[in-house]
Amino acid sequence: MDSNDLISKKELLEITGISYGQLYRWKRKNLIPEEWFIRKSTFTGQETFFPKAKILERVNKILSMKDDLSLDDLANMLSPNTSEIVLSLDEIKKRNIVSLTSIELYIKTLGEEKEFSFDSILYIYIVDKMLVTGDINLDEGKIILETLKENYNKFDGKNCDLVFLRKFGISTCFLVSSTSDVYFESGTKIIRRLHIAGLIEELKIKLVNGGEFHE
Amino acid sequence: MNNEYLSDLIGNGVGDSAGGKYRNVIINGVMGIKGDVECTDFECTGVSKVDGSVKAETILIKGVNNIKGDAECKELSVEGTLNIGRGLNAEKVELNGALKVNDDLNSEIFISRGGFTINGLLNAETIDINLYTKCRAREIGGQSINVCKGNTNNTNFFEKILETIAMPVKLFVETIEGDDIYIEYINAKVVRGNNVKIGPGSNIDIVEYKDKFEKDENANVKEFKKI
Repeated sequence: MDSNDLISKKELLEITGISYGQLYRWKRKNLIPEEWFIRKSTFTGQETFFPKAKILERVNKILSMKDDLSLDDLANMLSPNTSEIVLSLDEIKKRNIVSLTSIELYIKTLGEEKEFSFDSILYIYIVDKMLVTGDINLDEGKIILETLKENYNKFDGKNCDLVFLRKFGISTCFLVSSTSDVYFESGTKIIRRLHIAGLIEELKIKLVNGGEFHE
Repeated sequence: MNNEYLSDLIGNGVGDSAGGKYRNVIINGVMGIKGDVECTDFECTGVSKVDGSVKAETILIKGVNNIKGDAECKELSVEGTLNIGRGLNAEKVELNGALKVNDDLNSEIFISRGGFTINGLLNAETIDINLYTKCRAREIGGQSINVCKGNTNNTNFFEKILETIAMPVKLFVETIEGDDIYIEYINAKVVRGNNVKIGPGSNIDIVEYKDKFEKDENANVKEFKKI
């Protein structure tokens, strides 16, 4: 990460118009993750920097939602640790969060569950996202579901990305922690790299709002 | 926490415990707890050492207590000595004794009438510090920050000598950031805020303010600028 991608705390307050009190309050409530606070030494001593794109997006999100939700609700929604959401199959269908095809694929691959945990819904949501855009076919969806089921818990709530590759028609996928860079040989085509933390937020918002805006 | 079936842990005399979930933990003697503790009230009037973390509704320390891990509670009051090996998360901290935290301290309200050393960030909505002895923090951040010198008129001669030689009644901190700041008797590198007022006895390298800046004539500020 080069320094162009970072923004100092002072600049952040200037651009967004928030105050130190707000920033520290949000930090206390874990609305801004600890790992975004990057301490670097400058000529005035230690200064705090943030990853620019991420922090600006997060601050705008908080500012736009803080009128409707309390800070604690927001914290629940934004924290990458999954909350205790459990839905039955009927509820998922009713809420229209994911397409029926994806649910069927999940049941066919990993068996039917009486109640779907947040993680299970997340897996379906991820596969659904890629199926809908036509990036993958059903068989490939199966691979992704199995990979997620087996490995996602190993990240223990930390941010990770799902990368889906294809070369000479052979496809594969893997999970990698969000902060690491990966490079491939030129013949490899990266079909999709998904930030799972972002998807969790999306999904939580959809679950809270009832997810009515999905066809 | 459903504490219907939980029992109390009471340490009168000398003993060891493995830790675990309890309703109330009351230590009057000397007690070592070898693991994590989760309880409603944690009260220590004796000497105790916890090798794990403490999670409680209220923590009251009147004796000497060492916690190796994290501490999490709604209300913490320290009238004795408390050492925390890692961070502290609370809603209200009231300090009349001595507190040492090796990592960040997060709280809504932080009131200090004693001494503290915080090796991380002191982050609280309202910070109210009366200085009676040497205090130290790496960073302080919050909404309103108020630091003033406690009333030490009735100290005796020896304490005054001690103060001038070894233990200045001062707060040492690298950076202070907040909305409304009033500070006195502080050594700091950088102070940033909206309304900043610097009282007597302060040594500050840089002050950056947004709306208002006031300075006592006995304060030493090397550089100040409006941003």
